[in-house]
Amino acid sequence: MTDNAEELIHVEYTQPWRYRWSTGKYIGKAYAETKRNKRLMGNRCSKCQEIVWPPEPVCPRCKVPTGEKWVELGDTGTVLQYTYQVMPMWDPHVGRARAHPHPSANIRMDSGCHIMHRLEETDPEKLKKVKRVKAVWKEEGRQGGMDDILYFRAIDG
Amino acid sequence: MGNRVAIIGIGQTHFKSKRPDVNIPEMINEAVRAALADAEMEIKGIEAVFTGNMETFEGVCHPDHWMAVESGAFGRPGMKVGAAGTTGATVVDEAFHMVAAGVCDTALAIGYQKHDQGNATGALTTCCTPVWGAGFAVGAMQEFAKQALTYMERTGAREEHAAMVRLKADYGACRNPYAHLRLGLSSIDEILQSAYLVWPLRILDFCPQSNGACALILASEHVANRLSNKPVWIADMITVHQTQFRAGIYEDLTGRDPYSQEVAAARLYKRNGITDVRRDIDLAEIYEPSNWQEMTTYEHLYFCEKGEGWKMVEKHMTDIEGEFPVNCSGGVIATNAIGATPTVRIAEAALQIRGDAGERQATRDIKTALATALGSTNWTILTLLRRSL
Amino acid sequence: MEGWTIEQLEGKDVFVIEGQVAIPNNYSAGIVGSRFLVELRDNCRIMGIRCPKCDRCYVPPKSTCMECFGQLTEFVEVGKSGTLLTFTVDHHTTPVQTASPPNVYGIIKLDGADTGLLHLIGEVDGKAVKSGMRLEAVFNEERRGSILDIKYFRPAEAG
Ligand SMILES: [Zn+2]
Ligand SMILES: [Zn+2]
Repeated sequence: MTDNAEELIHVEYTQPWRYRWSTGKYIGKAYAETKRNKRLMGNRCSKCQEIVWPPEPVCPRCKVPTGEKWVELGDTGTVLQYTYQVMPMWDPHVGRARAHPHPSANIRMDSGCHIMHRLEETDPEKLKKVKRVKAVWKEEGRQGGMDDILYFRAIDG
Repeated sequence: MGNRVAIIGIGQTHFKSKRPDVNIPEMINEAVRAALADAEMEIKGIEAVFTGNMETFEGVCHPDHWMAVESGAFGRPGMKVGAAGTTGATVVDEAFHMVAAGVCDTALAIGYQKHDQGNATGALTTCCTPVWGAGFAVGAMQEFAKQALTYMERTGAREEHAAMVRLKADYGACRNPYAHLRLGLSSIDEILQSAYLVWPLRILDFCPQSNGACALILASEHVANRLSNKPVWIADMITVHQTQFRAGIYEDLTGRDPYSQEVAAARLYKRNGITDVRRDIDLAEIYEPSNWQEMTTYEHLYFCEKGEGWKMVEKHMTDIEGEFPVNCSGGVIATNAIGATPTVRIAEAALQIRGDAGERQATRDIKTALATALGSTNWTILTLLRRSL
Repeated sequence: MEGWTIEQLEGKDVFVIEGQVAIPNNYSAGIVGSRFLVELRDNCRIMGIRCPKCDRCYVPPKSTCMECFGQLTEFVEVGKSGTLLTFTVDHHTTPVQTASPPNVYGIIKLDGADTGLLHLIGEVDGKAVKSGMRLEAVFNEERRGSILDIKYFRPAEAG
């Protein structure tokens, strides 16, 4: 059907959608802490006492209001798994295809929270040895959020 | 449970990478006409219509409004359903609930996707808002990659096993005239030589972006028995949701929170008296967006012990000729029109029960089959089908 | 982060992230829609599609009859003139508009068609537009296979 001789019309069109997304108060607090104090903060559930990360108004396990008992996640953790992109893919936020230069990693922070971030190391062989890592914060131009951490750097022990 | 419900009509398009010859309504119409023909019905016999796709993928707001005539929804009740990757099963679930509740006697469920009209990877990235994590997300691929690495580390599976899954899928796809990628692969070496996309996953480890639609006609017991000589009964459907931040996207690397597919399967089996899965179920059509997911899904659904999914592949247990066939159709890695994919899983499982799967028909007799859907942050829908209730 | 800006609300620990999402889309007209657009472009002809069973002519053409669900294949040329069914005058500006406001949008039943076609109305003051008036299509000199190959409809000569 697609290979008949009739001319088929199509229209290429990219309509940029503007957005203004609000963090709300809980993630807003986390943003404020990264921006002002270079620290990751979660809120501790009033019932199970676990740190909820990213901070949320309701504990996903207990389904109760978490409250505002804020605790630090710390800067150090262990890489559970990582991968890196080989082929560029479309990024709608920048409107073009790109491959992020830094590997994506799942990290268990020493406080017990699991976060997703990037690794500084880009060499595939050296990456295999990266286990213990520490957050490298932006010294200038922090705006709030996870991008205030540039990436995680390998550390000893 | 409510009234008994059967699938009495099955229709799907030939899935392809490009469909410039049709717009979305026309593409859907092909599947609807095929389902009506299969059921030997006319559209006036349909009482309600449910449609669904991955929103934003085609750049059309309210696509259901544009297709009311072609979907059969014109002048009828129903709605558009959006539930990310599970949408294609949710449309069936909605139709199932309506008929089971006695609201109507017949309902049409349509899942579709026209990937050539948009950019799926770009659209998927918008699942993650810039508020939280869009800078880290590249669709679901990175999570698949990390899951594959963890699976290898934990279980002893090797890249060769993932390649075997691909080879098995291609064998089925080549026997399925509706399948998209029919590569005619002859050995796992061809797969192991394809280029890396997200290390260690290669192009041939992944599904393609397909265009197509799948439509199912559901009917109440008295209508099904009157109209159809081979109804396939929906014994049960179950949905389990999961929150996005508590797990890795497709594998809980924390090892703490239960996985949605495990929760759904345990509930479904308990509710339906299934105690030995491979004895009580004959075949499965599962949602495996990459070949690695196929092996972990065997484990999540209790087809085997934890860490042993790759052994089922190595022993060819899940081949078309095997003792427990899985994805005879070629599965998702051969054909993925996301909004239609879970509908196709149910359709293919139903065809196997009817004995109408042609060259891809399993060797053993299929009386009970399981179809799965997986989407977004671990949302799961399972459908249990039976030849008789 | 590239692609968006982050702004803290004054005096509050709440942030607003502003940016845009841009996804390239490629809309297919399909065989039936393409025939309509190609005829507009190459021959300045407006094509409808007819259901022989219901004796209804759809403009623009569609592949399924909304009355009988029949598959439609019978293309027919309809008139370049028609009757205005209803209209509105739009005074505000949006980025997707093709002309600067005020724009008069009308639904026009072309001679031989049984459905209304949405299009622009030109060469007339919004205050002078009346439902039931006769209109005729004005084609662009340069045409590219688009519904906008018809520049607009204007009041037809008397008769
Ligand atoms: Zn709690
Ligand atoms: Zn008709």
